[in-house]
Amino acid sequence: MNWRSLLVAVLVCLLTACGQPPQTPRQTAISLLSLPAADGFARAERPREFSFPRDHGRHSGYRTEWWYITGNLQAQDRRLGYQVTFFRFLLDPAEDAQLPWESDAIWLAQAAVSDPRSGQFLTSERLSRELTGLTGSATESLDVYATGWRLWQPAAGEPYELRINAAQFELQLTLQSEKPVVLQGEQGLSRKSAADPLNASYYYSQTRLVTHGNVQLGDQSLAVQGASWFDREWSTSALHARQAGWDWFALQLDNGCELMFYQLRLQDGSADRASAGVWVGQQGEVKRLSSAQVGLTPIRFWTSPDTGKRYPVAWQMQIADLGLRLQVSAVMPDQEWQGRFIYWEGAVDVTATDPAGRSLGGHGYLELTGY
Amino acid sequence: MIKASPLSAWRLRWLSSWRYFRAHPLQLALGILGVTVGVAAVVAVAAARQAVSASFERNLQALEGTASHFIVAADGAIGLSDYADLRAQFPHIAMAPDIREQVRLSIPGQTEDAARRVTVLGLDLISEADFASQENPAAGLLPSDAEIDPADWFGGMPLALVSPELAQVMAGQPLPIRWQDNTYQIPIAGSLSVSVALNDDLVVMDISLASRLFERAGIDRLRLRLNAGQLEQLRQHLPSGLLLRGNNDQSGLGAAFNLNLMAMGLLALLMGVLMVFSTFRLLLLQREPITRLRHALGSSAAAQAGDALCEAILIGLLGTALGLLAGWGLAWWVIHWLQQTLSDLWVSGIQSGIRVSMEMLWLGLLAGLGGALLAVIPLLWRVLKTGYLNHPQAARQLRWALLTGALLLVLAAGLLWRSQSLLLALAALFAATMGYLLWSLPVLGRLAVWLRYGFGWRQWLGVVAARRLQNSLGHTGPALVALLLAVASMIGIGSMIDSFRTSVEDWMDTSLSAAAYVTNTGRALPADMPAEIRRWPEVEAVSWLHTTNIQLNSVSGSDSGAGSGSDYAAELSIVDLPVQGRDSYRMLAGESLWQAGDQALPAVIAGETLAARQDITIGQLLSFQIAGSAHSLSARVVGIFQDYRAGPGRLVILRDALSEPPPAPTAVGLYWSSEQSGDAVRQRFEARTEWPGSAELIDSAQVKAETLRIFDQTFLLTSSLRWIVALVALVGISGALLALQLERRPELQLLQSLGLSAAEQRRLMLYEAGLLGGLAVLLALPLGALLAWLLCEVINQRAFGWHVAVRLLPGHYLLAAAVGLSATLLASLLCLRNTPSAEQAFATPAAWGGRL
Amino acid sequence: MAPAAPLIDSYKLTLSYPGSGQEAEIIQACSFRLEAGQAMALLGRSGSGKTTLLHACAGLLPISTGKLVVCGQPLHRMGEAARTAFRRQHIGLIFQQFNLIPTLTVLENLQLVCAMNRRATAERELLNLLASLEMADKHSRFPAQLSGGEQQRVAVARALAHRPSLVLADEPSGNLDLETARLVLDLLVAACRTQRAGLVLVTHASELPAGLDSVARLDQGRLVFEPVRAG
Repeated sequence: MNWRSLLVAVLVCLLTACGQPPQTPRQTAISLLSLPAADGFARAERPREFSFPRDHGRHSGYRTEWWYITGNLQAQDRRLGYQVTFFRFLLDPAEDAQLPWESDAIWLAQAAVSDPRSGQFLTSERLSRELTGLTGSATESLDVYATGWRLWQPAAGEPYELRINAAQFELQLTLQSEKPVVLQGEQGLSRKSAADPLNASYYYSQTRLVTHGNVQLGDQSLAVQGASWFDREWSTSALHARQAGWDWFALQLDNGCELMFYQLRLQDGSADRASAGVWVGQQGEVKRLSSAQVGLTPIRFWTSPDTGKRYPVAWQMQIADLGLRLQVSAVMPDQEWQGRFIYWEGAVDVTATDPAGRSLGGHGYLELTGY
Repeated sequence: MIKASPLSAWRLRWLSSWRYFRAHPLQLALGILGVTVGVAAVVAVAAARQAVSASFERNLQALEGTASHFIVAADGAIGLSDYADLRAQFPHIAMAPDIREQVRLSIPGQTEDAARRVTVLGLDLISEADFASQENPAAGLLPSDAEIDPADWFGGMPLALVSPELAQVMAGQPLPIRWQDNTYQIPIAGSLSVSVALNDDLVVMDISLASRLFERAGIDRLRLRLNAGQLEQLRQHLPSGLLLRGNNDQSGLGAAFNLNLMAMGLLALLMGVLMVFSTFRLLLLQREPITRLRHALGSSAAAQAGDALCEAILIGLLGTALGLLAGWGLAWWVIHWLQQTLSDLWVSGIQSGIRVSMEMLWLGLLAGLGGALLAVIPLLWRVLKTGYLNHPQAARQLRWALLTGALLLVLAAGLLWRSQSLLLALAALFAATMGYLLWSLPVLGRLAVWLRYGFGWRQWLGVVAARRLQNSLGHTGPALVALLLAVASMIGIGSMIDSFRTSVEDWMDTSLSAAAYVTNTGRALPADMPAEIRRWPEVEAVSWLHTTNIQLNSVSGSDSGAGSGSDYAAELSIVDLPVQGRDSYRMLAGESLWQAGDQALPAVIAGETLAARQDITIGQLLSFQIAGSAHSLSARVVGIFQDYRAGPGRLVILRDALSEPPPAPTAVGLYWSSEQSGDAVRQRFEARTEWPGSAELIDSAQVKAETLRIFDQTFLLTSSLRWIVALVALVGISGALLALQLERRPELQLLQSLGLSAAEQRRLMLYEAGLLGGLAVLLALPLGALLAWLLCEVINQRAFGWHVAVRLLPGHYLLAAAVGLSATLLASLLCLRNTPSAEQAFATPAAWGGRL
Repeated sequence: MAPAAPLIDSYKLTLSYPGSGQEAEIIQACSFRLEAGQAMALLGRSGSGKTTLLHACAGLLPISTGKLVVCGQPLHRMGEAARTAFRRQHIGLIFQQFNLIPTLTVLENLQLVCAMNRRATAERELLNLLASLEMADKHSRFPAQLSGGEQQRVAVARALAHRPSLVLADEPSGNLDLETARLVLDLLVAACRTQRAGLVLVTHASELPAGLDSVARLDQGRLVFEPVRAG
């Protein structure tokens, strides 16, 4: 789960000092996601029926929606992390555009590759209005594309294809989901604020996709394989004004289990009670986690030399009910996005101790916003 | 007990200088004024040029952004699928699409006829932002405080941004944009941060709104920013039917104007340096007696030289500083005046562009200090040699002037020989002018000697005046040369503007052979329209024209070397003209299309700008592709015609020469002879409602009048700046004459003692001034012609490929001569006021004994 | 033969410098006559007013009080324009320096004064005049090309070229050495006598040429005649 409050920030940028990140992304994030119910937009208010592949497509009427993929890949001697996000921001809930140029939505696509060996964090982003053939999404299947970047499922049941060509890198990956879709929250309705029940989104994940393909870094072409995570979420307003940001973990353990947890932080630094997560077992069985069940302690910080923000890049996590103690640490400290807005998103390594005391490894992705 | 404060020798010297100037405030004032005016002229022209250029730059950017290239469709518009393909394939290239259209805007409260033509730009603001942010964050079109709800903007809600001037005119009301048969009311959301284009207002809206208004989705122009590598890549993968063009087509009136202003700047610089030079020379020479005295008292040459140099630098700096201020102020005032006078709004954007820049400062210093040092250093050298200041030997100076002048003239000829470089041409302009001016000094001297024999003793005042003139050239020489240059510049620039205008006028008369044209802003008209119109009784003949963009596949023998596909871009006009229209291409070389007989290959004629650009010669084979046709066409160039159109250049071919000509024309020309036919034809035209509403019937006379109006307004600035140069010359000659007069007091007293009456005294001074002015004007005439020729036939030709026949009209000569003579007469009037009568002269015995 | 009218007839002449604030009398009640054809020397200390008196006689200065009739013209009643016209026709002036228009040749300087008086400028006549001053061979030179003495000789010729009735010379030999000075003054007196022009010569006692008819000294604004020394 990640909320991209970016677009308002982006649009504000667009119409002001173009290209420069706004001074307070946190504020713009909050202001978007905590906007009062805009007339006409659909809201995530009650649980719904999910059906796939239809729900992989876009959902009309919701103000924000995204397709989010992260993954850890192994080339011959190298370890890479990648993240791709397609974000749709709807302007007019009626969605009655007739002429091609009349777009009701604007898309932001982001892609990043982390290369710990060289210490490089390469990013690229595309902003585009929705235009048939150029940028948009299918409504009944997975096919989301933005100015040449594309994520699609050629036919039902087949693996997903991901094609990203950025200036500094290219991704050509095939992703095959190994587990059933996980509906987050209450059958897909994920409430984000204890204070306001109307702040919620529809949220599902595919927690483990076997990935193989090719990554082009500069002039190097690397054959890769690994595991990815696919998150999907759509909503109209999801954050409360008092929420400052969140820390989000998507971890894939070597024993075939996955853990997702997001900690919502309030302005005063404490964790919102609406923080939640999910544990997915080897067969895909789902156990919901609440904020009370997960203890999170940051253990190492990194200050960005460019923005001056101090991110907790290593954490200690305790889930008593599962008897798990995990240590999550970034594969490299500098995985800070400095594009149209600023946040930290990067590949992490996991070392865990299971109830039996055995140690366990794993990889994942960590997202830190609102710092 | 008087306390004597010890004064050092240095302080004493400065004290004496200071007291000298206090006793002769006029000299000091003239000195500083001379430098000020010289520097001001240079700075004023430079400031005006900069402001105008910046305004043009901004205007160009307003329409083109910071794009280096753009893509257009050969015919019609770029399809959305092509656009999507291009963006997907080349994601790293910044691309911005737009839909642009020219529409009429009826201003509320004004009559229909006063409807303005505006360019509507439908932009994708997201792409535009990409453009702006990559190079220059501020280069975008949008002001920083636009309050626009993105949902409204992108969703196609009617909203537009307009130029500040248009916003003012509309005063908050929505824009009534007329298209086809509908009028749409588009609310104005805010103002653009740049001013308007040269002759159109600009209305910016979202591309979705534009596509809805004009009922099409295709892109008119896709702007790109490419580096060399990307250019190659793109060229290879360009979808068929699309053309890639460079964005450096700086042709058109704006560029011509800019170039000519630059040439003017050169002349102004020369003028300024001459002024300062003259002033300083006079200032220093007036101190000659004091330096002799000091030398006699034992003052060292080095000390004298040092003092003179210090004085020169001080006065030079003071004058330069004042000149910078005055020049900046003068430019501001000229442009302010232009704004009041001109109705075109392009000028209003200029004012913000007048600012102090390094270029102005350097030019000012060059003129001010440079001129001062030029004057001072040779004199200093004499001081060091002889110990005191003295008049340089006239004969030696003249010999030096002759030699250097001759060298410069030869150099100028050499720079022009066998070269097509614009830079060399400008250098040649400078060298030729300087050479001629240097030559003019000895010529003036010789003419003055001969002048004496033009008078008999019955006109003894004339004899005395002529002799005095001959003698005065040592003092007035540089100022006279400056006057010469001013007069010549007036002739040259006036002739250039006139010749240019006449050429454009002639060209329009020739090429707009029809009485009226029907156009549809470049798009196709109904195929049956020409035949329909031909049936109307008032219409005698009809011409069929189809203009399309083409890419030349190869131009054999050309070596453009730029590696840019855009260099092969051109326009093709396919024509079918009646007999009345066959003279509409004025051939500069070769034959016209109708003269060329049947040949194996179709005949084509090339416009002069294209011919110059691509080095096209008669008989050459050209190969190009017409959009929509699968094959390339080969044609032979049979002639080159006069062409002033802006753009990459034109080829013209007969419709009959093509095996598959396009079915529909893009323009139809109507020929009629009687005056009344015009109204009847218009009525018939309006009555045909089934023809596209965007098709317009335009009178040729109207087009011509409009073009000339724009021309006149564009060159008004250049015209006005001539007067600054004239003003400088006036000040220069006044200063010189006043200085001379001071020197000549004893002689005047002598004449008065001989019985020269007051009236005769006045006449003497006026004669002298008249002769002086007359000589300067006489010598200025050939230089004026030379300048006119250089500007028209060399500089404009090399810059744009335009052939402008230079016309030397007596009007310019008369005006310039009048200005030159008036300047000297005015200057002498000033001197007259400063001349004492006999009584005053002899009032004190000291006046008699002392000559200082 | 009836006695010719006096060239200069003055009576109680008072001159002052205009615009000097108070009218200080430079010349007080000066009275003297000069007959036609006579040569008079005017002596006096520096600043005694000799030049002023000369200027007054030339019509260069206005008269404060008294009467001054020169060549039959009542200068005390004439305005500036009339005095200028008078001076042009009747007076020949020679100064200590700067007597010639530097931009005209020697001959042209002479031709000028003739032309100003609408006299025929017969070259022969003028050349003869120059010859009498031993300057005929330099008639085409410019003043700058002549020595001091030569310039003053030409000045004499120029003062006489238009046949004035009266020549007023203000220390013409002041800048010259003794020998040249004597030469110039002798020539001056002789030339005036030849043309029957009156001459008032301001000079120093040590330089008096021969042939003078009277010598006067201006002292404290008063004119006192002295005996003429022979030799």
